[in-house]
Amino acid sequence: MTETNQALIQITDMTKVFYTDEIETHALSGVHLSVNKGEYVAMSGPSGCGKSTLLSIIGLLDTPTAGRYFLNSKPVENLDFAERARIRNQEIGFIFQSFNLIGDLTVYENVELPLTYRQRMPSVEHKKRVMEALERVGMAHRLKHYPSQLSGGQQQRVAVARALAGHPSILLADEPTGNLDSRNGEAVMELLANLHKDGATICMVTHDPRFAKHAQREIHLFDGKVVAEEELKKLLQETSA
Amino acid sequence: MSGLLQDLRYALRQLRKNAGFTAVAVITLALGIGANTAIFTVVNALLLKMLPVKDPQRLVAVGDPNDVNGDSSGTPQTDIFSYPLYKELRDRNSVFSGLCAAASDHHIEVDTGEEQSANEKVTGRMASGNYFSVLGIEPAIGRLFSSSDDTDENANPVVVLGYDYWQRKFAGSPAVVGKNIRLNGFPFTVIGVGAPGFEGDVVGERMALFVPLSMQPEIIRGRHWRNSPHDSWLLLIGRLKPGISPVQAKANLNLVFQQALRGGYGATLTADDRRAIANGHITVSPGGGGLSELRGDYRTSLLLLMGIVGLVLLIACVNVANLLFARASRRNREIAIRLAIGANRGRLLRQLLSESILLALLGGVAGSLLAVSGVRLLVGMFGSGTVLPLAPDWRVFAFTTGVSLTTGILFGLFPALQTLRVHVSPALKDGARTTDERNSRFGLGKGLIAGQIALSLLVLFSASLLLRSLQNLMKQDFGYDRSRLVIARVDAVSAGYVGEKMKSLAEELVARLRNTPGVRAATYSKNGLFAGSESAEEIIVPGFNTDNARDRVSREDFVGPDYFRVVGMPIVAGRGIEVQDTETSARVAVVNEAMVKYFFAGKNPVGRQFTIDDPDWLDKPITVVGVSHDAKTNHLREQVKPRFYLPFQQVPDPYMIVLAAQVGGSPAGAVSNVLGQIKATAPSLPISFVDTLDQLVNDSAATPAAVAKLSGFLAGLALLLACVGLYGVMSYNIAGRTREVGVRMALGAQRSDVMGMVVREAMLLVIAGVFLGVPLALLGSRVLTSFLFGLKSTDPLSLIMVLVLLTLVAAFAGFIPARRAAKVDPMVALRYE
Ligand SMILES: Nc1ncnc2c1ncn2[C@@H]1O[C@H](COP(=O)(O)OP(=O)(O)OP(=O)(O)O)[C@@H](O)[C@H]1O
Ligand SMILES: [Mg+2]
Repeated sequence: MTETNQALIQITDMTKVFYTDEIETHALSGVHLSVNKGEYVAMSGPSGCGKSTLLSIIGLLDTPTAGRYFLNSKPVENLDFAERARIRNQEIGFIFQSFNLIGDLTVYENVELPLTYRQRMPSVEHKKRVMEALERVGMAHRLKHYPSQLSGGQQQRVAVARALAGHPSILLADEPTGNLDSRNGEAVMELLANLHKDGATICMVTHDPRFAKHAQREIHLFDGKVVAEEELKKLLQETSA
Repeated sequence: MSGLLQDLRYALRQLRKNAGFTAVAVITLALGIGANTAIFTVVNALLLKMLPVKDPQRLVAVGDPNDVNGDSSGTPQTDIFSYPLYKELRDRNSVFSGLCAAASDHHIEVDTGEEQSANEKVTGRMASGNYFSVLGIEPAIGRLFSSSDDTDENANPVVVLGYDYWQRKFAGSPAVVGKNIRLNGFPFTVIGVGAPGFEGDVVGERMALFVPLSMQPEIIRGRHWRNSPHDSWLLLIGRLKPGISPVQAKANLNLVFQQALRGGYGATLTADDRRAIANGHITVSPGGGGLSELRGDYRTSLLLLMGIVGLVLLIACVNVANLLFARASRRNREIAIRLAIGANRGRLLRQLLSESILLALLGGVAGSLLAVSGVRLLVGMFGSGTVLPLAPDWRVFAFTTGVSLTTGILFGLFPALQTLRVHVSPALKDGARTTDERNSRFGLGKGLIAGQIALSLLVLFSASLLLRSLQNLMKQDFGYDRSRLVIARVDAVSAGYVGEKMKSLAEELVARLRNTPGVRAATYSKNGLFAGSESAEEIIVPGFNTDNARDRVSREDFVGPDYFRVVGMPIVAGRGIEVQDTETSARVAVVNEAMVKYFFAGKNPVGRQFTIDDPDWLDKPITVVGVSHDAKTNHLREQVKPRFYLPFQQVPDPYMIVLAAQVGGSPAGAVSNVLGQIKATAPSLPISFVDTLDQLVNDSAATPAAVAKLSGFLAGLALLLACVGLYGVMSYNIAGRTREVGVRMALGAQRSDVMGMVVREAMLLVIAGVFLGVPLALLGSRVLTSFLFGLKSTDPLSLIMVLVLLTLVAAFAGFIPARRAAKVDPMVALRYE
């Protein structure tokens, strides 16, 4: 009981089945996962094993087919769209592989975006939060720039600032370095590590074992299930053989 | 050439490949081009087509060519002519190789003598002996008139048939030459048939036959106009001598006219008449297109509609341009590849343009098909039993082709240039780093939409002004109750009723009508209400002084007992015309308020006297016994003019009879009863018409009604096109922004936030359009001033109504893509592209 209360995310026996053209894809089959407050978790596994699917359910972009999901001790697996949007806005900060900054908004406006979907927040508060977040990622000097005027690394730092601006309970990142060269990738990883040091809870999907090492804990997914590291190696050897 | 063919083949393939795009574009263009072609066809028929005669450019109309069916008795006129004046002009001018004269009559009863064929009423033209030779018409068979066919009154009972009529009625039989037929009961001999295609010199009227002017008394019975300088009934067409301009012709004719006034012609007139027309000016205008009553009526209306329909086409072009813009961005890659492998831009431009021109030509063909029914609709709306030469000719063909090509270039050029501006390298790479780099393509597309909304605002505003004017026109106070009256006009003179006989006929008719079921009361008058005739006199009012005789003209009507009560015109002082006002009682008149104001300085005139300035009346002073409320009598737009009403029975020859019956129930239902009673009273009496006053009023408003309704229809089309444009651009725009929408949702946007965003963006375009459009509409509507009634061209209520309508419809157009955007799955944000 106490354990459940401490856990920010508590997932039990979660499955996700996609139905397309009469083909069932079992993207997740019986996943158990709990992430505590302040934890930095990396998720890895071969392509198609369900990492993004799991992340999208954690981020309330999608709903599970079965299983339970408690976020901050509240069950969230069966909420409607509006309720999920509200929780996404307040509790979750997304960092995407393709940055997903909005092309015709300035850096400032991009970072402000999640705040604009929040009711009753005074604009002074907006400004304070945006500046805070941008300073945190070292991009405060580029307020009026458009995304197309920034380098890839800079864009991803702005995206991190956007995720931070809403003061979420957890940061979700799906291959945040996938679109960056190794130097810029390293910088973003460092940024995440620093955020973690300052108390942020992070859940990150990555292919790259070097980056996974930044995390406190690494979760291996294989064919829709969480597996131990050694087991994963064995399974991988079996499939490649 | 082979390059062009290749381009066309390629263009055709492209259009086939994008069938949906092609269909939408062709339909849009067909609507725009079709509407233009339809209106142009009518413009062409009425304003541009030349008569099928020899050298039509050398023909001029002398007098007012709109007054084709006018005639006037009394003071001589110079816009239509009496026969003596025509003779002066014809014989003394030095500018024409020939000057002919003609007049129409619509009611010639033809009896071919054959048992089986019923008598038929046709329109025929009374023409001078030189009519066909001046126009340069050859006979199909037999011969046409010569001057020996047009000598003394009733001396030349010969008739020339129109080619069409000959074909229809006589099956084109050559045996018709020499045949005797009866026109209005009088025997005529057919001498020939006119050339095929020639149907007279009046646009919109097909002449079945032609008789010499000298036969007028047999065609229009009871009148003897031929030798009277007081009866003006002829319009003239002259053929200019080589090297003579219309301006020279006009100067010469007016000189001849002044000389004639001082010579023998003038001697036949009274001093008053001479004075009255001394300042008259004879006008000369191009005559090759023929004369037309309709032309004057419809010219400005048609040109206005042409302008409106042009705007609609422009809006349609913008839509297609936007479609092409949207497609251009999809074709970036293809173009980039072509450029990369060395295609030159000029060649590609030609290729892209040939595609848009092909589209426009397809639209033109479809539009021409639409135009065929459009023209029918149009002519139907303008009403009138006229037969315009609507067959499309080279001008219509050239117009439609020209419009299609122009639109093709217009909507094709910018998207084509846009497409070619693509840079080779980035377009070949893929992977956008941001959700969407919105570029000038959207800017331009959206700019076009704003322009389109501005244009449709102009069209909508114009239409609403015209429609509200029509409403004002029909709802205005006529000065009497027009919903309960049936009006009938009979042609008593041609049935031989003159003077006393006519006056007792009027009494007899009204007595019968009063006893007709459904009729409450009946009366008669000379001119009546909306019956199409008018008369006026110069009068002398003691105490009212003016130098110019024209300034003391008053309208008049001769009315039967009880007239004011029956038609419902209030008597505001004194009494109306009553049974006691007989031929032998004191001469009395009722005057209208306008007359009181103008001639009696606004003071109560009851008991005062005036005289009509005519030798027959000068010794018969008339005493005013009452004042009637001002009333509109003939035109919806007229300012009520001074008018006096004399007792019909006190006028020696009232000349015409118009009956008015007040009915209890529906006036439309009583029409046939009234008709039956008139026939029963006087079986041989020709009846010009029997109709409800409401219908007569509506008929008199047929042109403004048609213009208002058509512009309303066009405005609807403009609004539809503009909203389709808005919808298209927003849909396309949103379709390209799925990812952005997904990201916004991932960040916590509610569906309502997303919908709000899209609708807001659409409304921003509307606002931009309105900002452009309001000044445009206020400026553009100035053109309408002469069409408006009871409101200004800046009427704020119309503008507000239009803005509300536009906003609502545009919001709806924006709502559809907004709803689609709100259905985006936020998962797209996670997908990597
Ligand atoms: N919307 C969907 N509809 C149908 N199948 C889906 C959908 N999304 C994911 N899948 C399937 O679910 C499985 C897991 O997909 P997921 O995107 O979670 O993999 P992943 O581990 O993130 O892979 P990668 O490392 O390549 O990103 C895959 O087999 C995928 O094809
Ligand atoms: Mg993935």
